Amino acid sequence: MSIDLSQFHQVFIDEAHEHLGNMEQLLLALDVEDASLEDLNAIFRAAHSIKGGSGTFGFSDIAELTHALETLLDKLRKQILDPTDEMISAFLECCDLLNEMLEAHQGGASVDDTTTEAMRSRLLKLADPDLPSKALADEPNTLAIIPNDASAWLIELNPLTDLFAGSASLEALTADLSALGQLTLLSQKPGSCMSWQLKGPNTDAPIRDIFEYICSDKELTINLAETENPSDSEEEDDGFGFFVDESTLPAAQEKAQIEADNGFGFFIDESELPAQQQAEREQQQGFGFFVDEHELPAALNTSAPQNAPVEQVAKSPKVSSKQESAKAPAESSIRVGVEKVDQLINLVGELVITRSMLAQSASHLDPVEFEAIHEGLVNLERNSRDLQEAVMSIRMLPINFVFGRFPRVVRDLTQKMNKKVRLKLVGEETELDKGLIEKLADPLTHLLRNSIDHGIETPEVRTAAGKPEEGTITLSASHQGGSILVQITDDGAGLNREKLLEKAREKNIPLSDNPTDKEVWQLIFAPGFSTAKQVTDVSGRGVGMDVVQRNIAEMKGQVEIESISGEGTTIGLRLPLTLAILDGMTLRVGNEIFIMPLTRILESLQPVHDQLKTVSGKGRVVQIRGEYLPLIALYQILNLEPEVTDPEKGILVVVESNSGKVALFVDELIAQQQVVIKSLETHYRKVEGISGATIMGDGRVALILDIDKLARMSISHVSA
Amino acid sequence: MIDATEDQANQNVVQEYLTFTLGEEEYAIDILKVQEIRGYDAVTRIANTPDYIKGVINMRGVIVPVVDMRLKFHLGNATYDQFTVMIILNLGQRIVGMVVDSVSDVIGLNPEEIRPAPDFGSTFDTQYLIGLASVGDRMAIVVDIEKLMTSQEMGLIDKLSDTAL
Amino acid sequence: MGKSILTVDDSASIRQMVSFTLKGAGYDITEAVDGKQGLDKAQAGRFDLILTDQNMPNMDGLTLIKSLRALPAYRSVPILVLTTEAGDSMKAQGKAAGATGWLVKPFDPQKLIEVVRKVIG
Repeated sequence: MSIDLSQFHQVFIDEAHEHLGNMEQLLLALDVEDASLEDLNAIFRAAHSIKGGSGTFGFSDIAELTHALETLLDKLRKQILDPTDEMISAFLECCDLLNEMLEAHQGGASVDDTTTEAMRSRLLKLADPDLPSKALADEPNTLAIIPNDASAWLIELNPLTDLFAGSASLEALTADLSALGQLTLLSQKPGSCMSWQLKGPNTDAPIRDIFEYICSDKELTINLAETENPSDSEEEDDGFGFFVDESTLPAAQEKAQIEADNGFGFFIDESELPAQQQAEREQQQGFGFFVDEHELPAALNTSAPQNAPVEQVAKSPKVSSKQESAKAPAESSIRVGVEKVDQLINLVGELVITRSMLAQSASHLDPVEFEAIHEGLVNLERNSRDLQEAVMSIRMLPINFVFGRFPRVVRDLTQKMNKKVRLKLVGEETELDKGLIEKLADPLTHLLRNSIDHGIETPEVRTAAGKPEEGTITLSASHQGGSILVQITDDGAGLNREKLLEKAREKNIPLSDNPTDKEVWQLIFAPGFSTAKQVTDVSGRGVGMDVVQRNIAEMKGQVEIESISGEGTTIGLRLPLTLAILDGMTLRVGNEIFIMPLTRILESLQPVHDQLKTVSGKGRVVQIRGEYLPLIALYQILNLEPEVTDPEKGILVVVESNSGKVALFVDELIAQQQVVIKSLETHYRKVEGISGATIMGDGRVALILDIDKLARMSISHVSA
Repeated sequence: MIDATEDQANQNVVQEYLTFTLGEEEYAIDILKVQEIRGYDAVTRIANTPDYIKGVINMRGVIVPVVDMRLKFHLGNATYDQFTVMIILNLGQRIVGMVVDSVSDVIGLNPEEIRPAPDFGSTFDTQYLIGLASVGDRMAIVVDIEKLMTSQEMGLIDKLSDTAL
Repeated sequence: MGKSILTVDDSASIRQMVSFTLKGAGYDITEAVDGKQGLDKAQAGRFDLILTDQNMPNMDGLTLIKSLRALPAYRSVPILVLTTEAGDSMKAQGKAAGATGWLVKPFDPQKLIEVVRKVIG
């Protein structure tokens, strides 16, 4: 029976990514001065698990590298060595490299050998600082790979000199070895390490004979390929390996020795094993079943469904106890493809729409005569709403999935810029839609970089200003009504109003005569705007903040800035909880129905004549409690035929757009309604001023208004 | 249906086409691109688009654009009543509704029966034409509907995604 | 009825591989993700063989073995340690804890079946 191990590869790769993620978190949280043994053990375990799995599933390069990683970690957890910053950096880089290697394997590619070799040597060097670098290359590679049959030999040549510079020829050597059996070259680095796998010979003697004239025993390692550890195989009777010290062998091994070179052994007398005799009998047949044969198909059947990758949603063995308690009980969770969840969400969306269609048709039915139908519809509504909520919650993930990467970002950046920054994470458990989490990563990274680069001052400047040398950046997330607020707060220098204004004049960015702080802060989102005196390689050339704003707008979110000079800046991102459902207000212009995001609406009113003014060059404005707001007639912007053209007869909806408050003039507001957001772009394309569409109770399509875009369109509309 | 090897199938086998009229002209499109035919109903207008883009409809939960070919090519009368029909096209990744005067027939055409189109005399740019075919005593213009609908000219897709097609 | 085996490993991929392999060979397999769960599951059921990883969160393999050996029901049930560490100290510790034997990781499925057969048939 042969088993295709590749079926487990994806599970292994996912698992390894998770281990690496945990490892990174633990490493970042690790206090080098006073490392907790528990954390070091957890880090070790992660490396260890990856090594075990990669060996088993045939990813020998990963196994090799994690072995070196494990070697160093083992010394740390056994307190033979103390952790240093240098080690942590090496570990982190090693994590990155391993992630890359995993991805490469997944894509069927491979990572450059020299990179992994360099990392391996670096780790081994750290593990054994006294080791001369030359000797590092000679570190016996303890990697074990799975042989296809028992007599596969792993040959490693670690020459001290360039063996093939003289008379010996590599071709001749290869030919000689090939004559003994099936030879596979595993790795080759000219002038240094080479390794082969050779299948065929029963003992290593003929192999050693070939090498006898080429190199010394010291430069050669020959192991049975499945033997884990050369120093171990050493103890066995075949006499391969180097550092024999038989006195260290436990007495218990007498019996085990025979089998130990096969990679397993027993601590008790084998004859005690219940199956021993039976097994031996059956092994002579080469193949056998241990159950009655008629039971076997059944046994196989039961195994099939369990084959699905059911596993624990691995939560990291995290530092804080709070997260520990959040750990999902193993085996009570399953991994499901996002597309399946999305399909479910779509279907539920359809169900909700069908229900409202039914309700609409049934509304004419006599409530007494058709009582059962009405009752059924009420139940259907409740059930479908609950179902919708339940399904939506599947997509919700704690924001820690994106926050989790930032300690690393901060560490790397502060080192680069010689700043001292402490990152505080608040509300990491706040849940939001998976799609949003993924889209948040880039803008948040950018904002964080900006805070470190432009916000937090250098330690000297901070000290001079009477601030603590170490700056603090707080990354927080919280639910606020129907939306989620993500804030980045730094205790840095704050935005400089004068500098921003000066820059705006320089760049000819139009501004009102006496702009509010809010308007000034918004300048940083203007394309090509950067206030840093020097352009650094960290936050770049001011490309970016405008991109940040665009990204957030795409998520139907808003960016808010608060800043106090000398005290710091807070940038808030307000986002909807999910991308799939919107709390909307339905409104009508002429015969058309539109949806407006409810969260954007500040108030609605029917203006009186005195409130309406026309400002030359700026179109109409409406005065509301002393504020003049631009009046945008939706029918004009969207080129519709309205029922009313006089704002006094219609309704003004005051909304918050990212270009400030505006009043949208519509015919009528209809109702608040939760709608399922559908993309227009699947079969059509982007439409200016429209962020998406939804299907109403009567089956018709209604378009969802993009408030920010409409506000901008109206400005260009007026100035045109 | 026909017991032929694939090679033969590609060369000689009769392919089915749906024919429809636009004004005086009769057009034929590959029936495999047609998802369904339905009445014109409940189209939601989209602002600031050319007149021939009538808007979007709900096709079982999917938002699909509707194009009126009569307006696009200035053929026939763009009236909308209970007889107005819409051919729902399935073009690989995209679904598009197309309003025409009327749907006439499903015909079988052998590749040899499709003659090359002349360089002039057609409403459609020749790059979207496969050729001309005789249907009884009439002439049908065989159109590569996928190429036409995904073209820049129709403006149904964003420029970016256009290059991907 | 096939013999039943409890496999304890914190690595899902290894667990699945062990499970799949041995199920294919006709055994009933129960999985546990760490020593603690392994001990709970062992107490809740009856197993003819226990395979355990060495290094696991919550409770490691050796502690699991010691705890199992303290239970009358598991005093003589064979327990194999699946370990990447095949050094002497592991062997000494394994033996002292009461393990029946060890199997070095990485191992191939064939080897696993072979060893399990040797132990419980």
